Amino acid sequence: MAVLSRLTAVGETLSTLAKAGLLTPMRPDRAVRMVAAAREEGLSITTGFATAAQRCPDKPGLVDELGTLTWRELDDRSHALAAALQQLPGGTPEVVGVMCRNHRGFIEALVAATRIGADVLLLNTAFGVAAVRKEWINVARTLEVGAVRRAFTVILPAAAPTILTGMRISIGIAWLVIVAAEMLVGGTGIGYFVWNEWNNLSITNVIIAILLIGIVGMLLDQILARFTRMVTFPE
Amino acid sequence: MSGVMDKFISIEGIARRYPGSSGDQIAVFENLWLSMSRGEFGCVIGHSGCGKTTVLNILAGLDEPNEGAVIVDGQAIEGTSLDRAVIFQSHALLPWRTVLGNVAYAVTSKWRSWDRAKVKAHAQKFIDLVGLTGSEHKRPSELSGGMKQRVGIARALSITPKIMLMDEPFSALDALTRGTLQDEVRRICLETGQTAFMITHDVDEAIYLADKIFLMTNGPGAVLAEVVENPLPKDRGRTDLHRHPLYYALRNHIVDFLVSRSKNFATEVPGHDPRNVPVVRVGKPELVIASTSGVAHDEPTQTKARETTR
Repeated sequence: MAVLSRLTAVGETLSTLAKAGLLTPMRPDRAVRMVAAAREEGLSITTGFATAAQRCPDKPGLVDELGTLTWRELDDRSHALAAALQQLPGGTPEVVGVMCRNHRGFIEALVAATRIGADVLLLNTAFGVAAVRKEWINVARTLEVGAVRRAFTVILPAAAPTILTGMRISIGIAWLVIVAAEMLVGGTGIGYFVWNEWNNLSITNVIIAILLIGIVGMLLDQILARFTRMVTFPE
Repeated sequence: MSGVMDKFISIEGIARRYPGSSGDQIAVFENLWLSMSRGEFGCVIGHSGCGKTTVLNILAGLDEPNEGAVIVDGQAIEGTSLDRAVIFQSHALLPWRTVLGNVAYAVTSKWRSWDRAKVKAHAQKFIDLVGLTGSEHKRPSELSGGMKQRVGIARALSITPKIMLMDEPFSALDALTRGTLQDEVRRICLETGQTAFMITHDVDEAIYLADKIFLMTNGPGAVLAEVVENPLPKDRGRTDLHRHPLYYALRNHIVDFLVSRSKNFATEVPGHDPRNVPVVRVGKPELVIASTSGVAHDEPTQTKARETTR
């Protein structure tokens, strides 16, 4: 019941926002196609790409050093890649490893892999992943350093900046998801508090909570940034 | 007895093949024989792709031959060893460690039971040896290219290896730094009687440093074509090296090999026996004879021209 009342609350909010002109109505055919696209895609991280391709196909969806892609182009390219993945000689892959810099290929591969239902393994070097250089491993080898000592004296220090950068990104996402989940599940947490205070029409509390969420997120980020700086080595 | 002791390093019939595009095996080199005695400085010269680095990696134990064996000090090598130190082309220092830390890492790898003070004192000795006193606590990023390579040399020497292996150690340095580092390496090797094996592209570097120069033909299918003995005196100096009467004969011999003979060595010398590679001693008479023949008629002027351009 609680869920139902919350859903009606969402509906009311949406209609209020629409009335206020914050949510612009769209062409009905586009709305239908968006829903269809979302259903086809399933609810996943890439649903937004399919729906956006229906909603505003000719607006720029991605800008990188190679130029601009509209949502439709992005959708088509991902589709083509997904089809190509499905036609691989070994059959549709179950896991797709993605290793590229931060550009269109990364997004397309991510969308395409999700479309064919494959798990994505991010081997990304986008954040300056200092792959443990072969020469360092060779140094350890010529010095007859054992596996355990090598792991602690070469591999860990070399990979530490990457590991901590990864943690820094993850903690931001985790914080975001936690707050959102608390809003949906309810009962505890700052997400629930925001939702509750919104229902109480206590806008001050909502704003304070939002600020608090921001500050905590920033603190978590800065703490990990500090750690990252500690282990980063200049070359 | 002396025959055995003659070969401190003995590479015996090694071959290294890589799988080609169509599934067949492409041999970088086959049946390669090479030997060096204790305290000798050997330089390998050859064009890119002739397998020089592969030979060195096999000697270091970082790579394995498909055939044949390498014997060092009477024992077939197996994998890497602290007896064989490598100086890498790209210095390969651990950037998160200081100069002292990098050298100490090698020292503790060899003598695990040593306490901190002993390790530090030992590492310091070799940092002083390569002239880096005062920079012990700098990180590699704060050092110039030449200083980094000095650390690389100190690290290699600190484990008192039987052989020092150098893979184009100075090729990334500017000419001035390269010169001083060559002086350092030569001084250290002479003082300590270090056996060293070096790969280089630089003919002058080979002449200055090496006792024996190994000439390799072009790969794939490279062979060790000749072993050139360096006729210059042991106490040669960099500044008057080129004034030695045999310098240009030696230099021309090597350059001639690199320019023309390395390409079609296999067809020109069909009976080449890889087990008994000819040892070439460049001597004065050769120059005299060469100047009378038609082909090398302009040899003296060429020499002259080189001298004036210097």
